[in-house]
Amino acid sequence: MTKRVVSVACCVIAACFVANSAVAQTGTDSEKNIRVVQQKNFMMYHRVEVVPTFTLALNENVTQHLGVGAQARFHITDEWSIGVDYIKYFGKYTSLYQDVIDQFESSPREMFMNFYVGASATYIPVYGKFLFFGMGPVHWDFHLLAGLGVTRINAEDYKMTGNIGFGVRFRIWKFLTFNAEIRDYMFMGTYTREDKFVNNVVFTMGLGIFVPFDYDYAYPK
Amino acid sequence: MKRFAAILLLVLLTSVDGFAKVGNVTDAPSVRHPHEMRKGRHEVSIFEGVTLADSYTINLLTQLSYKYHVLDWLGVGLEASYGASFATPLTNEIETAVNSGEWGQQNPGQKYSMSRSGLTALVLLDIEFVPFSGKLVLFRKFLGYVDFHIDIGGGYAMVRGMNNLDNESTGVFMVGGGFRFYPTKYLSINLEVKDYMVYRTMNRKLVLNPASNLYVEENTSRKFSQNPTFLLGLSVFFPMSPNQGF
Repeated sequence: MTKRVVSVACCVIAACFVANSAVAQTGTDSEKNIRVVQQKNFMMYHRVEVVPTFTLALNENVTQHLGVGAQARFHITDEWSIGVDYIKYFGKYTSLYQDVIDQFESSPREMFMNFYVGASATYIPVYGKFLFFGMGPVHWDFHLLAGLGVTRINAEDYKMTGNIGFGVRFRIWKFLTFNAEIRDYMFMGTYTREDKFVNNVVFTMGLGIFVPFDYDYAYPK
Repeated sequence: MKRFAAILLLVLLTSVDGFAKVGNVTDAPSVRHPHEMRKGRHEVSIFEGVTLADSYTINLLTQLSYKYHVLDWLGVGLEASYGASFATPLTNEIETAVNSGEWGQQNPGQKYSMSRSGLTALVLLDIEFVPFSGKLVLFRKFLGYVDFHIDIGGGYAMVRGMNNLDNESTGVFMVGGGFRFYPTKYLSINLEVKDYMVYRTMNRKLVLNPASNLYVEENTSRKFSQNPTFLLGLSVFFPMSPNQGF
């Protein structure tokens, strides 16, 4: 009888010990001591990004240019990438152009862009995650861009063009992102009456497709 | 012995459950204690802005705003802006062309300046929605918070008439959006783009009077002018510390 009581008591004590141990691991004390190293959710290292783009010129008044194009980038690290850009522009006069002619009998200077092609480098100083009305998260980054290329204007005039800008990239899937950029393409433009320095500020958006589609981590979660 | 075995089995089953709670961390959700950066807080901001893609007048806006964030995703506020106006390159080009044209020949010694309008003051009530909010890492080192917000509003606008165009008071509607970056829990740096739609006369045109054969000015028709504006600002939040969520 005594042996049974002792054995039952031992078992109960053992049960309490194990249970307490389990509680201690999930309790508040442990939270202060545990450091969680989270895996970065979206990896771009050594991946190629191809982006079909749609472009809208922002700072025009007598003309309006829309563009379609493509970007291709190789991500050297998660922060740095290099790539090539192409934009085919489609320009037209705005109603303001006709207004100026009608109201002042003066034809404003204008210039039409044909295409831009060049190379660029990208640096990502900021990345983070969003909640969408409490749901998510949506991972994103903010990047800075700089590039050099050539803009073809009017019929056959090629202008050396530098550009700087910034953009954001929202991760949709492991291989798919939504990209939005604002860039200032700077060149010496040839207008109908004179040459003038041009700041062609454009908004570009596109879907980034990453190759390879998937990636692995060096260490387990 | 049987009882001992039964009790031991019970203990093992209990402990397995205990380990299961902490052992399967791979698929476990992150433990989060989000800071509600806006809910129940007052926001006081100052902005500097410039209108984009203007036809005849560029406006520089200095703006003060107050907002109370009822919820983390909903705020109401008041903003007041003062504007300074400058001619666009297109305006300068037109003035040069007119001065060297028939108007210049009819008015020797005079200099043509286009009669046009700019924004003097805007006072709006606005509502803000914050669909996206989250965290960021800067240079892989500094942590901060960020949100994306959408604003709509309406109110009163004072329009400055320049040269031979009269001042006018009118209505303004606004839609816009932007980002707030929080380097600290009581301060944010704001980037916004807002379109202020103002019902006004944009300019006066030159019309040739057939009777006198002289050019005279005539108002163009009033219309809603689009004034997309880029704003850069700084906000301070009260109370200084945000509430903590779940």
